[in-house]
Amino acid sequence: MEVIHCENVTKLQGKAKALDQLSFSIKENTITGLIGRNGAGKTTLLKILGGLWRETSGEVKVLSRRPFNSLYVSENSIYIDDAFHFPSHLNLKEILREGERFYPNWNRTLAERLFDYFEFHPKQTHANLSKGKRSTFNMIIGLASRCKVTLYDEPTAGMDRAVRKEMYRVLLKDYLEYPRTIIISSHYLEELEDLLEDVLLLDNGKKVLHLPMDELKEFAVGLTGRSEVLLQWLRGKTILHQQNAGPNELYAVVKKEDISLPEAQRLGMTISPVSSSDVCVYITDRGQGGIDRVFR
Amino acid sequence: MSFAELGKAVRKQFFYKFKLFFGLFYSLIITQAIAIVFSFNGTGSISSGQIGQIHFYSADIVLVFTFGWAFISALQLTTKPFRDNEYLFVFNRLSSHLSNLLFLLALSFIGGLSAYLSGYLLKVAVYMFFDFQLIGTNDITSPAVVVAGIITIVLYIWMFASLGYMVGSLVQFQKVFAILIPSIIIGCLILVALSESEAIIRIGKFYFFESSFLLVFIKTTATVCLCFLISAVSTNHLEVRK
Amino acid sequence: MIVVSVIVYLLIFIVIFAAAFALNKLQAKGGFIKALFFSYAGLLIISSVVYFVLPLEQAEKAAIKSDGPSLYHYFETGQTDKIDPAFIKKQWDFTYEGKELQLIDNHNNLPMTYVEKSAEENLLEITYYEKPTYIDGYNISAYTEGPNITLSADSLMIADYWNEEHAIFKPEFPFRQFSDIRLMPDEWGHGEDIIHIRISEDIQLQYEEWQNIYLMGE
Repeated sequence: MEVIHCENVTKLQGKAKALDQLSFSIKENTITGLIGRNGAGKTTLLKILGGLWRETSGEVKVLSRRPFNSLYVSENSIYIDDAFHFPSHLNLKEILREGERFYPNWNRTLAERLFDYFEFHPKQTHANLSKGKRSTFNMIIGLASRCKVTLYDEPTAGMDRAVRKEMYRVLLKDYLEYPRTIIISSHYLEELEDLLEDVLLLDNGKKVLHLPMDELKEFAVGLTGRSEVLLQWLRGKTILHQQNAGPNELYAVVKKEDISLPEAQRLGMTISPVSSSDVCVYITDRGQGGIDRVFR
Repeated sequence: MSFAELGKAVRKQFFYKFKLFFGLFYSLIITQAIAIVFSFNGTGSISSGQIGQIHFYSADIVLVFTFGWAFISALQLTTKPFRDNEYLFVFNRLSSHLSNLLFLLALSFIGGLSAYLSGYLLKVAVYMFFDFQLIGTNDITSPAVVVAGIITIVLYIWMFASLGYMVGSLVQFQKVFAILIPSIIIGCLILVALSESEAIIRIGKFYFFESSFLLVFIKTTATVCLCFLISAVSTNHLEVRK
Repeated sequence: MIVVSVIVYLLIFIVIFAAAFALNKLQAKGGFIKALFFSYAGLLIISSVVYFVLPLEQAEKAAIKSDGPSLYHYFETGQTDKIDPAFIKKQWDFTYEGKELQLIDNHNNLPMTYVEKSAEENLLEITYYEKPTYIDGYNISAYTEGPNITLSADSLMIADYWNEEHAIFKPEFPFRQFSDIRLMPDEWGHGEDIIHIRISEDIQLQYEEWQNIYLMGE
């Protein structure tokens, strides 16, 4: 069942198109990663899905309803980022209590246990937390709320690596125990590889790809070999990325489906896998040669 | 969205806002304290040779200051920092407005009650600390009038609050109102002063000189509803967390 | 005039608005606000209770009695003996040996003062007549003392007129809307008061132009 359905969604901010004719659907009880460069439209999309912002045109349906101004969607979804505006005179314990009052599926045990595990003090105020601690706390809220649709916008910002790993574990475990539809936008795709089921890649407000994680891992291959041979062989095919690998040697990344692997081996090229996060980076690359061009 | 769901959400938001905006009571107390001090000046006096000077004391000034406080506080409810606080829990535009309306009513009730009681504080203080001979207290003896009066105070405060809310909402809707509304008000005042017309006095009389309680009730609640309607319509597309 | 007062009120409002605005931004500690709130509430409740317990004398409210003939009329027509003695509030009887008497009042404001010459020697008789003033139905004159008159070696001192201060409480304006009470009374029962000095012909009374002195019989 489709929990989220977008069709030709466009969002204008001033004259700029933050989202451009975006269409996709997300099935119920999946964890989707929302990937893209800064400014790709991830936050915009999540805020529209969460009912905070209004789409300029197109159709957005979350739980079969338009999310903006919908009490139902607000009750069954939650948008978490690191910049929550909590009032400065409510302390953390009180905030959790409010969450419990508002969200019908709130799991108090989970909230309290995580709260103690990450060593929060009940009397602390939200504003006094460090950036990483704040993200942790906000994620706890997102987890404990157990909303049917949980939207995390770069939830691990500022967290140190150990905490991030722990949070992903908690996320996964709780998801398995209580399935729901989750979208996480993040820059750390490589860390999330084990967590995500699907990946939605955005660039300049447009959908670039929407694939299951397994397929994304196999999406591209890296070929290393002699430059002329490689370039000759790859003529006509889309080269996602290329860079010098040594004198007369070239490293190129292409879509796996575009080439034949046995033939590549026969030509003496080295085949290497391309991680999902690298694929995303290459696909959304701004220009040939990338940043190296600045130094040429 | 059924009424039951809406009602539930409004209820939850109402209690949340009470905790959230508790700081408003701080400004209420300060405002009323200042007003009480001003009231020691008396709200009028008569003097003539034969009788010396007679000072009249009442808590009118406290009431008026409370009106101002209600207007400002309601206006602030519509500003970003206050609005952003509510998005993270369950809400939509309609429930937000309704819970604000009820919350402002609760504020008006507390502000009105304390304004009324401050009259006693004032009078006791005058009696104890001032050297004047107290001639009479003009105490209201009819409980019906007392109750009607207190309710009316609350309604007036609520009315000013809803005016502030409306102004704030209009400004959020189109920033230009922030300049437009004060200009219109000042322009009207100047026009009225120049033409020596009684327009403002008549508006004042419409609300404040009405001696039928029922009519006062109807007039104020109608004004409140109108203000909220305008607020709701103008902010319907308002986004949060820009 | 209205413009000025409107502008003044506007300025006051703006100051209140700004103060409330700033205060709302100030995030005082929750506990502090609670304590402040409850102490304020307690103070209000206590003073309300005290108010009702206090022995606040209530003057009798009487209907305005501004009927009856004007006292001035009696003086103008020289019929001072016909005045009802009930109107006499105070009386002073002095014997003065001197030839000149300086009239001093310490507030530069006397009520109508009529001076009547008499054949009696060393006579200095002063009567203060008063017809009461009613405000809000209260007989204010019951609370006033009238002037204090003292005689020294060569002067007559009329003091403490215009001096006294009183208070009347009023309910707040919504209550006034529903009852008949007005903040500033539309009509008072205006009273009258006169100082009547009967003095020997031989004594020369010195006084200034602006003091309200009238010689009777002229």
